[in-house]
Amino acid sequence: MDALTLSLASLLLVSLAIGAYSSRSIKDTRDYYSAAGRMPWYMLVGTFMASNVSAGLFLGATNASAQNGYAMWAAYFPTCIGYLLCIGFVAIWIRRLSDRYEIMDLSDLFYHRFRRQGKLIRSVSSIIIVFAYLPVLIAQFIALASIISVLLDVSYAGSLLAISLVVVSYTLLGGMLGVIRADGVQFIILLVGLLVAVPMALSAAGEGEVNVGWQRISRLPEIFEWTTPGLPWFAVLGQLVWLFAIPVQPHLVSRFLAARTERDIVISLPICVGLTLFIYTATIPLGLAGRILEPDLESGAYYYVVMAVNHFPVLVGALALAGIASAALSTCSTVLLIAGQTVSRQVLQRLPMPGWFTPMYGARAGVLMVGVATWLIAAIQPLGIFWLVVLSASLLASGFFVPLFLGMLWRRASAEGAVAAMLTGTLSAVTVYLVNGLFGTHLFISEVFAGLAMSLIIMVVISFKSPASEQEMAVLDYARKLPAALESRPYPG
Amino acid sequence: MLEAFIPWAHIDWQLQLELLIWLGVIFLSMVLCYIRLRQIAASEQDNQKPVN
Repeated sequence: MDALTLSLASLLLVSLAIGAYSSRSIKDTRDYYSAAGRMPWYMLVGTFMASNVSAGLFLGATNASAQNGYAMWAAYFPTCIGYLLCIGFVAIWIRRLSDRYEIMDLSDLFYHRFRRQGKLIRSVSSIIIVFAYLPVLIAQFIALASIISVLLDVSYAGSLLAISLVVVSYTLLGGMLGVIRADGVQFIILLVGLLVAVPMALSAAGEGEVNVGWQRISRLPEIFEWTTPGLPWFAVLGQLVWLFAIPVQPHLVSRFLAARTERDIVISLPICVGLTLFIYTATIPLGLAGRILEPDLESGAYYYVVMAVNHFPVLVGALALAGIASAALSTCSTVLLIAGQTVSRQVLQRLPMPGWFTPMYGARAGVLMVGVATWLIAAIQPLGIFWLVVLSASLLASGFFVPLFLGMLWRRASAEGAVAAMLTGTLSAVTVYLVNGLFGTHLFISEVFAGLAMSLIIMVVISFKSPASEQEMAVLDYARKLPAALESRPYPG
Repeated sequence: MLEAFIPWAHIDWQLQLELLIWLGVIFLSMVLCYIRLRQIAASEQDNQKPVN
């Protein structure tokens, strides 16, 4: 067995063992979905970063950096603002509210804040979550299975079955607790993989000298421009979608329910924002070194993978590639848990079930159903889903950003306004995306801006006509720890 | 000419601005973290004071 097979097999087995071990500490569905109040700041950092960094960063972003230089890297700057909004605001709100209300995901926050239309808004947000996340999950499974099948020279069906079994098993067994613990291990592997890959790539590009490698990549033409023919202005500005998507992505937000205290969330904020800069920056030397080392890269191949296989020592290459697998595994498990949770709570728990079918069975059955469905669809490799993957972040941003932030910052924001904003936001984004795709136009620069603008207008207009109730305002006050909520207002129940 | 004094002058100003925003957000998050931690520490101290 070679080093690569051994490292990938160990990664899968360790993840499985963590899931099985964590299953022993789960008492109820709240534990299962949110690992309520157990995690210190360093576990939050690990799980947040591992969930957010997917295989796409190692593969797609490194290739894009090779072709576009710093333009690609700088275009990621909205990500760090998204982190700031996500951890510095949304995470703190949802964690505070979870002390007083039953909150297990983002749709529960919407339910309590917009109580007058609570059931409707929970259903609408759940549909958006499933519609936005299922294609992402399928795409991640396809990407991971494809890479493993190429690297280990096994069949696609075989590698898909192996990773599906492992990911579904450890997510199903360990729930959020298992996912967060596995994320911790996977994040360390991901980070160490990057840490060794960068100097190794520069050394290879400099024929054994890191300094020479650095000088060579710095002399490449057209790498210090903010736009390039491959990355035009609208593509750079389109990256702003992450500013609005990251704060409302349920798989990122919900893991802060696991925070031990608010202090742990606050400490994790600058660490996560700083780590983002490091991780995204690492793609630049990797991509540019790849461009020097592999000037005739085949279409469809990835610089990162080719360098790890052809130019790194065997053990370092195995570690660097295990980093990709770690990034993909953590994203798969975390998205699977959120999609499974939505299916379980919105579908299974509403159906008439026999007495022995406890909520815990329902929770695990939801994960199993989504996992099996993902495996079956990924086995066919439908390329048509990739347009939905691109649209996923825009859908979440267009549907959730305005209702969430306006709902938490503006006391008057009402339930009717929020429902209308979610629907018009997502529908506008899909419409503009289709029009731009069909006619090659750049209306609104990116579909996300159309969705945001429409949802903002609709929510403000409707909220002025029918403002929020006192009970709903009390939720906002409590989340923001405004004195009114803490002293005089009655418990909103 | 300008490059003799400012080594990064050959980089697009938009690119420099993007990097500046990035570094600025990191700094801002550190400041927010510091302020909030002090607030939490102060409120914990208040809670520990005996009530007269």
